[in-house]
Amino acid sequence: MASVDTEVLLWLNGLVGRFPVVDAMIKALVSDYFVPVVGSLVLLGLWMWGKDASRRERHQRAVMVGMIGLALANLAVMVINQYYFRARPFMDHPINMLFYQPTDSSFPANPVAVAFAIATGVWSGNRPMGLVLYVIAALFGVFRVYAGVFYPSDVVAGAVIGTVAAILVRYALRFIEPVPTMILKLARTLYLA
Amino acid sequence: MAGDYFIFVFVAALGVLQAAAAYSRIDGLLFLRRRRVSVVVSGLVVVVAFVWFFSADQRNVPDTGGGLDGNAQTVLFMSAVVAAAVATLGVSSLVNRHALNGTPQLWGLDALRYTTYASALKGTVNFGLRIWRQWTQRYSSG
Repeated sequence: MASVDTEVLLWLNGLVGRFPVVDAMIKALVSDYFVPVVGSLVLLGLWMWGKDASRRERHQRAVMVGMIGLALANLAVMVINQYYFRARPFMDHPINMLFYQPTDSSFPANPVAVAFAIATGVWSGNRPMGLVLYVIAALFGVFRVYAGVFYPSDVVAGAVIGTVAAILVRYALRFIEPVPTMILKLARTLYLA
Repeated sequence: MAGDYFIFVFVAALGVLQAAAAYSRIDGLLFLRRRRVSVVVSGLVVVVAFVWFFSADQRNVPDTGGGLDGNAQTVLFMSAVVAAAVATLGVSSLVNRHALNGTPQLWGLDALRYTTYASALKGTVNFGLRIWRQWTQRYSSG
């Protein structure tokens, strides 16, 4: 399993340098800012998105799932990192880096967990937009392997953690009703929802 | 980097809020009268914000070398979004003060289709104060 992980990493990362234009684009896409900002801005827009109140409320609940799911995914990664440390690929293999050399644990991929948590939250309220975010999150993970920052298994683990965290939040919000409804009503009173 | 990031998110968030308001027909939040123009302009604003941020400087830098760690990103993002929301509510209330100044008959964002945020909030505050006065008159001693 570990060798497959490394083989996929080395094959993907071995493509670096063949297409300089693609490398330049991927450098921007895999940065710490691009995908998290895109996902968070989608959550912001989704809060107001909808031509009628019921559709907007569905979107607002999805935003809650995405935001709390994102926080839960971060927390889960932090807890895992307390007990398990995996060195970054460039520590053990000859890697063509398209990224700076991070010093934190490689497993699981935290930014991928965040991207998948947001995508799952959005998916729960708006399928087409959720699908777009899933594709972006998946590409983000693949490109981070391409850039030599993560092993493929780090990305898969991050995706699972993010998705599961958002699904758990979605069900948890049902258990704590009427709190989410009260929050929405308060925001509606202030003309913010 | 922190200043650039704040400006980037602020401008992009302004664009996203305008695009969402235009699509959802919340005219009271729009800076421009025409919805289609609003969508096009706000889309351009978002694209320009992204292009500027990622082309102005090297962004792949660690937090130990001038980049932003996760906590700083979260705080700056939230601050920029709140600033963009406040700017949207304030500017749209000013721009539309003559065109949309009715008393809201609806709750939530739906009310902002027919009135501005400032006049909607004013109506709610006045309503609340009226209820409060009635309540205190009814239950006050003497």
